[in-house]
Amino acid sequence: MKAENTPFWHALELAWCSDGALSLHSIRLLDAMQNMIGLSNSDRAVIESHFEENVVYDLTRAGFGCGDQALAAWVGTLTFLDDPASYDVSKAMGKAAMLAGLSRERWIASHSWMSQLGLGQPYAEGVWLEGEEAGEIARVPALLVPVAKTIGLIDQDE
Amino acid sequence: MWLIQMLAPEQILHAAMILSVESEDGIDEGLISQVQETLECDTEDHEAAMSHIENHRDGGDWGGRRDAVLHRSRERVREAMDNDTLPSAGPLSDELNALVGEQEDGGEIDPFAELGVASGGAGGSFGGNAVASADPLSAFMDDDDEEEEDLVDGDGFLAADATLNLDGDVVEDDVAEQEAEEQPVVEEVEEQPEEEQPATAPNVAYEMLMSTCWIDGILDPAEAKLLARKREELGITFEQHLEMLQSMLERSS
Repeated sequence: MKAENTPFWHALELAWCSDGALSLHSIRLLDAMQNMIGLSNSDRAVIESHFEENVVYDLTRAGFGCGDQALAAWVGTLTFLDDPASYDVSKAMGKAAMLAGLSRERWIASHSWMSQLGLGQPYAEGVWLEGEEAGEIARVPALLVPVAKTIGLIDQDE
Repeated sequence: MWLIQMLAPEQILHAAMILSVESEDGIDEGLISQVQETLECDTEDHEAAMSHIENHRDGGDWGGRRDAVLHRSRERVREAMDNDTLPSAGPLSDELNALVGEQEDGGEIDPFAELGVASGGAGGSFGGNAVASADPLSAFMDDDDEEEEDLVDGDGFLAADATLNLDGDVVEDDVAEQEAEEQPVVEEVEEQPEEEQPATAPNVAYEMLMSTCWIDGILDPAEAKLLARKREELGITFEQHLEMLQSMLERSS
């Protein structure tokens, strides 16, 4: 797992990068997210320390951590993980990624991302055409939009 | 003794015409005339072949089977040159070699066959029992490939086990003839035992194949499909695949 290719890294970006500050609300949201995705303390520590070294130290504070709004919305999308369709959607996204042309770097990044959400297996099955034929992905769930951008299913500007 | 059933002249002409049509410069009527004359094919043969090509070419896509069609055509021309149905030396030979070489398969060699990996499944055969699926393209074919084969072979031009009645009917060979055709290929293998290579562990061979899937930078459906088929044939679980993939990526990073 590469720290920067994870949903938790994305959450840290949302929390920190709007104004270079981290609010208490954001800290609580990050804790909630850690619990929801079952992220271990050690893995979280690796990601956070890596994020501090590579991102936080270069930030200039310009507010009081108002990134918590975007983070709250993001954490809210984690309810997708309870959706029974999440397995099929992830598999369909894997197939769509492969059909779109999946480079090794994109595979590593996207699989790392999906694995942290517990969706690495169906995503991999979709990419590698394992098991039953995956369906078509009609709409990318909000939770998976960042990774869909990574693999080119959605334009970065959208 | 070489027992492989000889191709019909019109089949060879048809194969040469396909290669010529699909060449960079398009069909070379001069070359085709020489081939036609050498094979003693008449105008009807030429017209029937051209008609078949026009009906099935599909703008060069050949119903999604372009590679297979070109591969089969090259094989036929080569075979005709090997058994002197077409000249194997001289100007015409040079032109045909250029035609075959121009659209070379680009190394479409089944790495499993090359490595001598024995397949456990019924879908393919490698190494020692290699011959029935010697066409490397077969590894990329879907389960409905027989239907696709029919698309190509239906008129007999590209069918190895059918002969063409130029009235448009396909006369299927009987079972005995098919068996006779299959038999010598085995003999061919037996005659060349020195070319046999030691078997390689399926996992090792699979990993080698997997390592080629990003050789052009992009994983494409054909590669994914090939690997999925090989997993099934070799009894490699998807978990093993992911483990091998991960270790391969870690080694290369």
